[in-house]
Amino acid sequence: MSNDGVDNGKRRFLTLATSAVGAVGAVGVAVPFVKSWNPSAKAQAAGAPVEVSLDKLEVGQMVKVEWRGKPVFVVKRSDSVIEALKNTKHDLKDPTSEKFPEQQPAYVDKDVRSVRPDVLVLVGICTHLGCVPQHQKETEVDWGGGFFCPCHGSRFDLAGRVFSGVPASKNLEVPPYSYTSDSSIMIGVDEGAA
Amino acid sequence: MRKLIIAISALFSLSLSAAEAGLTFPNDDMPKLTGDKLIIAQQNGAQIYMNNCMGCHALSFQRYKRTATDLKIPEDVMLDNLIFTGGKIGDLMTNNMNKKAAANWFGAAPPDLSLIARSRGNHWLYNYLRGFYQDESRPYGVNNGVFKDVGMPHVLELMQGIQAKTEQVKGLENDIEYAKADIANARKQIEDGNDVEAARKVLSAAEKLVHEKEAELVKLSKEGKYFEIVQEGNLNPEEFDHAMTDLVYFLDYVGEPIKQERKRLGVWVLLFILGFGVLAYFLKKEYWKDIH
Amino acid sequence: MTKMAALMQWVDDRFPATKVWNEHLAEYYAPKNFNFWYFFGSLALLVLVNQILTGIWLTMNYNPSGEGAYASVEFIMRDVEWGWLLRYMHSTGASAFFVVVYLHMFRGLIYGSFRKPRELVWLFGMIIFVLLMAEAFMGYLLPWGNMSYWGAQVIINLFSAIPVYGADITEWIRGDFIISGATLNRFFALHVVALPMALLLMVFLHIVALHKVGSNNPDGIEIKKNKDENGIPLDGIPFHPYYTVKDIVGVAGFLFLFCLVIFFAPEMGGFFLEPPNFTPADPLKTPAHIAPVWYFTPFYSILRAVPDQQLGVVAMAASLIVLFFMPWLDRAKVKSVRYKHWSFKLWVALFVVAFVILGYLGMKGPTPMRTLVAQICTVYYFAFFLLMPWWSTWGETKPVPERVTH
Repeated sequence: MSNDGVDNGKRRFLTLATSAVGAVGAVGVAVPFVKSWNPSAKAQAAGAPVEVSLDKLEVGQMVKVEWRGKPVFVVKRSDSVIEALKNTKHDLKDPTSEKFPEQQPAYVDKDVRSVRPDVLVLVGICTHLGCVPQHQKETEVDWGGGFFCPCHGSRFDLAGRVFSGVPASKNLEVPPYSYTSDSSIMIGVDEGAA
Repeated sequence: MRKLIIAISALFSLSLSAAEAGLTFPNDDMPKLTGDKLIIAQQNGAQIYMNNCMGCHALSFQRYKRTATDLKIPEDVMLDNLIFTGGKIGDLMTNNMNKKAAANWFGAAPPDLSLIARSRGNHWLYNYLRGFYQDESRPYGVNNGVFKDVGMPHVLELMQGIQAKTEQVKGLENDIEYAKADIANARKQIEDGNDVEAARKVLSAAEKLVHEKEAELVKLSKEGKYFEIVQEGNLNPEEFDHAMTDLVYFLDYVGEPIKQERKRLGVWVLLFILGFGVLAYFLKKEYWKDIH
Repeated sequence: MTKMAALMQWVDDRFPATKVWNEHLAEYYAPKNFNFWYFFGSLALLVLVNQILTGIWLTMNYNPSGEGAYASVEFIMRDVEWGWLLRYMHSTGASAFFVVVYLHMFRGLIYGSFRKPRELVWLFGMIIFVLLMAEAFMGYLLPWGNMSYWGAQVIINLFSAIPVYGADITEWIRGDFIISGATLNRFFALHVVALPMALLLMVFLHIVALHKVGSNNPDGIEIKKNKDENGIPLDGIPFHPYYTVKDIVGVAGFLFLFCLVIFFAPEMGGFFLEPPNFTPADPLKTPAHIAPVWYFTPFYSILRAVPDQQLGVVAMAASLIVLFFMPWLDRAKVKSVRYKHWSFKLWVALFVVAFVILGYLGMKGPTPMRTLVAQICTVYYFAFFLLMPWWSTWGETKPVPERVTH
């Protein structure tokens, strides 16, 4: 073995070049492994937008539908409830959803948190630890009605806004949805997307 | 040595079972399609499939949405024109066939065809679909030249019409049948040691005859004179062959939806490895200058 | 001391990182005259890593049950992003493993790499080979296609040749009266957990034993006989960087062919993925023509060549067992084909021919002619090994040089 005539510059260049191309190759190989963890076509089909008809929804009533395996609440609110929400007398953590704007699409009203004031759409999962809150009508309870989480007692009003003094800190999430007609909404499709 | 060459060449030949199959008719090669022509054929094939086959044969591993995307069919067109079960775009392409009842009607439940192109191959499918002919002895009045005594009726009768073996073919087949009977008799005679010499002669003559007649059948089939149309359908024979090409290419797509994409990607992968190999080769050469 | 060196020192005080690196790479001296045949050891390691990684990822979506297995494979092929590639990498990798291992073994055969002092390297390698066959066989059942099903049926029934207890043993292996979900489940467990662990352990021992005695080379001479004043073999060069950079070239060449199959012919014309396996397992319907996957067919041919069922199984087992004795069968004065008598080349060439013919016949249905050819090849297969102590001493050997040649 001898070292005469060794061109160290060329050697370093070739080592670096081969390593770099090899690294690109390794990343390329990693892509299929990483991407295979994305939701499969089956999961995506199960998570397809869900259409909900509002025809039979009475004022004060709620329907629960499943979207992407999660419960989604659709509630029809009365005018008095809407009025009360706008001038709420409760102490809320994030009354105008400014602290956590990601909890709702940009196109919903900041006070009543819906596209049309009378129809509220929420993902029915407590922002504390993921339990499903119970709907409580404004006529049934003395705190104005809303959602009560049985796990740790978090409370939300009829716009899904979280009360002060409960464990949850974020408002209930409003999923993307849009009106396909006057009396039906599509959950999972953004307003103006279709 | 020749055997060895045959053995080795057979080892690398691309088909294992085709060589061992007997004579089937028709036995034509399907036109090769690529690029846009392939996509158009597959789209047309999808339409033929949905209208004629889907009622009995589900494609239950494949999704409508994937099919629409890959074959460049707009989703609303797919929903309005190609989905008859009221399914959603993300659903698997299943049907509502009652398997038990179907097994009663046809002798066996119509199989799922998601992977039929991978298990049977395009060549087989192309000829099977074109191989139904009139045969009054069968429950549905048809038999198949590729899949003898198949339980399936001739679903595409409206398109193709009805074909029957030509008189010439019937004649040849009769001759072959007689010759085969002669062969069986001669063999028995030889086994029993009964007039062996004469039996041997009969045997070799009959075997030669079968060979010749079969060659004639192959020739007729190549010339398109094996079957003749006895009742016309909506399509002429050429149009029907086109339609079946499209249908088989659709099944080929459903068998392996990634097929075209993987070939496209493969070119880039190979080029990348080649480039890497060249670099690695020079790196090795550079380092090995140390070694004397 | 730089921070990096300090960190290395900290580690070395607690774990022999630098020592291991040096002993097995930077200061592992390999003969400088390795040729083409010496790529296949590192390639086998590469394929092993490929199989383990893609295998782990496949289990994430595979469903090892009689009801769900077949559909879950198609789910991977269609609904899982890039699942098709992971599956083809695994299925092609299985065949590639055997290609590489057969060539690796052939290298050992022609250069006498199993001879003293490398007997244990060979034995560990043979255990790896047998484990690999078990691994491949069990993995082949998992897609739950009709060929998977009937292939397993035939192989498991080999055990019914065992006198008296045969029927009970096959039932015990299957866990049912036919091959069923129970069989699939236990094969899955063995395929993804037990056998890979055993394989990794044996590969580790194979390499440890090799690095104890040092690599053989195409001249079949011991480079440790000629050392310089520092005790370094004169004909040895550090494995790293010289053989790492060389093996990378081999890896590139291998990957080119590997990807050629994956992207352009994943079924390899029915050799790697067989057409009948695209129909689901059906206990009531055997495929018209069943044969094991190509890498098993030489041994399958030996099984069929023997007219008696029990003796056939014995012959097949013997054809594997005899390989274990190689280190003691070869009595030639020299190790490498380069210096052996010409008759060795003839014996080996005929052996390769016989092995390939057996492999070919194993894929075909038997006819009297084929069975006869298979019998001739089987006889030769055993003659090659059993008569080796005798024929390997034939003729004059060429003089072996002191130092390796190029």
